[in-house]
Amino acid sequence: MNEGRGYLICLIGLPPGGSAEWTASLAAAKGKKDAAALRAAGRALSLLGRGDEALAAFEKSLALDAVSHEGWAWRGEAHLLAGRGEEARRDLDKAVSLSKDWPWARLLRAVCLLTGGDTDAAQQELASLKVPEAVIVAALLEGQRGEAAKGADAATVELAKRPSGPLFAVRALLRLGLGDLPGCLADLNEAAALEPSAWILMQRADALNRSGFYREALKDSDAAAKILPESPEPHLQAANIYFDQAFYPEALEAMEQAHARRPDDASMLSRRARFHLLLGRFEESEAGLDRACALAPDSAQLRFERLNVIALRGRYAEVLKELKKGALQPPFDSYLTGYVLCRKGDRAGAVKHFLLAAERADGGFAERCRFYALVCRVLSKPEKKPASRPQFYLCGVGIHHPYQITVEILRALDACEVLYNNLGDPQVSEFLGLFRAEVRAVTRVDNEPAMGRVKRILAGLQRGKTSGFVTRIHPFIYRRIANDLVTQCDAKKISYQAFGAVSLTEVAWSLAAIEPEHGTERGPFASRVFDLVHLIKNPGQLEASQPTIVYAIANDEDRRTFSALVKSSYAPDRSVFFLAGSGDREQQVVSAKVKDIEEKLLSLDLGTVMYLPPRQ
Amino acid sequence: MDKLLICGLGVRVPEETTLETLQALADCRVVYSDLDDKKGRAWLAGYCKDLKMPASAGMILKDAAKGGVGLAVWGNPQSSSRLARDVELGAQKAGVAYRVLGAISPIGSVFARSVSFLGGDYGYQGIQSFDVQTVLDDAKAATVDLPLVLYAERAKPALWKKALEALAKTYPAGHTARLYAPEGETEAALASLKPGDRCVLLIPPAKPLTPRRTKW
Repeated sequence: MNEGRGYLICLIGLPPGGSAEWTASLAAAKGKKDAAALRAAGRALSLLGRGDEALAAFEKSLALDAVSHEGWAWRGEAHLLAGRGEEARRDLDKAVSLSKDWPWARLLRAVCLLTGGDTDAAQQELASLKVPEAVIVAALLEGQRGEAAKGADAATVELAKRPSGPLFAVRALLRLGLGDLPGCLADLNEAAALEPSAWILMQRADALNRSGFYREALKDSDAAAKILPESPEPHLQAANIYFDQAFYPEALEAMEQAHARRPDDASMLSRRARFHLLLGRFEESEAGLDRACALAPDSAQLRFERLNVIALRGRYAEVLKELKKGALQPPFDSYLTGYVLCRKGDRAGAVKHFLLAAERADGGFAERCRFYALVCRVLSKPEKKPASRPQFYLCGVGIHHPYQITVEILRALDACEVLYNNLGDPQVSEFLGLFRAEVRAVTRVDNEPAMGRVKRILAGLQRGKTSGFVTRIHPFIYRRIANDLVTQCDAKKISYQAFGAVSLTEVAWSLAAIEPEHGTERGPFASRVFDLVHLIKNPGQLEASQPTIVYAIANDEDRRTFSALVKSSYAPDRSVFFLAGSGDREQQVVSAKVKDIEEKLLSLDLGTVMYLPPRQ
Repeated sequence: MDKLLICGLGVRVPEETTLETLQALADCRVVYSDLDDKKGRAWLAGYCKDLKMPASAGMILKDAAKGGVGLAVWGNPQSSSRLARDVELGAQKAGVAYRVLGAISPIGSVFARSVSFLGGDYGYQGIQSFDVQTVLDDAKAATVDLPLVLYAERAKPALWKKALEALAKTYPAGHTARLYAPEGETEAALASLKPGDRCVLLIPPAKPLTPRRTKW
């Protein structure tokens, strides 16, 4: 869901009963041809997620009454909901010029400005608005400025006066920005109790999924889908949750549900094609993109995605021919040429194309092109061939994947014919596509023991063909699947080789040590690393003079016991550091004083890793 | 571009060097590295615009004022590099902006090579790691209750011998450990192992650790 849409639905709140109110409004306008009725139909259609029909109704309405400030404002709102900021801004400017005293056009314009990142102009717009909803936008504004705490405080004051679902939901978003996941969930529970709108339920689903409660998250997505039966959004959310959890067949089923609600939507087809691609279902991916390209023939992005799939299917000459004909503009033409050459094995040849693409690109795409050029450079240098290769490679790709991959893993992947992965990350799938191997995603099956996945992987191994398994972070640190894989390999006498990777231990340590609160004490060249539960049972093993890393995968009671142990071993004003969210997000540490450790630790997710600097 | 970037190359160079590190170093105007290993150093030079052997931390800090300086050390910077520590603390003092990139530490390296695990109900629940000189400086720093990873980029056999003989006294007689050397790996009684430069040892605890049990 784009930000503009998020903010807007926050304002509108999609009232209790959700679609019922807008469906009734639509029914009331049915058959009427006057401007007001068409306007009402347009807004109802827009809020029911039927954007194209809404715009058609607004066109007719404005043709009959071109000076209706409401007509321009609600069409602007429809554009905002669809993520078309420029069109929205034009319509909202027009609405404000037609009625300077009507607050809604100005409120929507503030949202529009905020969505575009112009926080100063948004604040100016909000300054003179007296409607209570302005507080919601103002709180969001603070969050966007990096002042989430200020926004949450403002929302708290307003909540004491006028508690409402949307406002609780806004404070939840701000608390999420502050890393306070339990506070965020508590607010969303309040919000859902007051106004169980689809948007609030979907926000809660997101927070629950982040907290590891994906089953509860799916229940909320399902409830949102019932409120908005015609909207693809809740189904898309469910698809993403299933995908995150590696329940791929279920993810695809949810994606089909979303697709069924927008069968001729090129972007939906493209999203489904990306799912197919991640699952190695290239034929379906290509067919979907063929259709998407036919629906949106001017889309360079779709042409790129289609040619990328064709490259992955090994039809290199076809891709190069299309590129020669000018199917893609720079930098994507050079990028795809490099990608094809790399897959074909011409690594030295691919380097210059990736570098050319990097020169012409910016941001993350430029970074990726440069990384791929480096990958090709490393692989193009001769390697001392090993006497024999194992049947199976077990690889971790660090936290900042795939960039933290090591040289030896790169070479191992290059020797594989089949590559399994449980990352579910499009960027990793694209990266694995650089190699000649067939890429397979490892699916989870509900209620299947963890060993089930492992048995399925090993059943697919073929004698004489080297396969690899790629997982996130370090394969041997809190990775049951890796443990099960080596256990089964040993039992079945399958030869294997495992590689190390950058883990949360090293990342927490290196990030914390450079923080100003850390101070200059470094301690001896030593470290201790613990599982929290083990440490509270063996408190004598905590040696405060040494740098200490603790994996905090534990319940609240154990976290409290651990906090007491730290308080008894370190000075209350010493800083400790938390690396929260061990997933794939950009890593950063947050600090807290020892005296506040319990409150902080209880607010962070299960994947939190702590760094305790050595005591002076 | 960063003023100063401090990077670890992993325990086995280039095998354990990450491409993130390699890319960052390739972008630097000049890279300082005290890596002794000739093969690893030659490999690194192939990716750096200018690779230099540093005479001191001060030399690196002086150059860092101009920006675009990288420091590449063995292992991960926090585990064993006195040079990285001096440069980091010097940068803090001088107000030079710097970053440290994550790298494979001796613990991370030895876990993979020994197929040992941390966490869950199947792995170690705690582990300790020491630079060999640290153990010599303070024999009580290590405990026999946790697995011990002992390492050194540069340590003469005599230094290792002294450290291992001291440690062997604290473990049951004949306690074995696994040595991971550039030439290969061996398992033998602690005092009979002969490590040298760029070696890592994994010494199991004197008594097996109890598996994790927790209520959810």
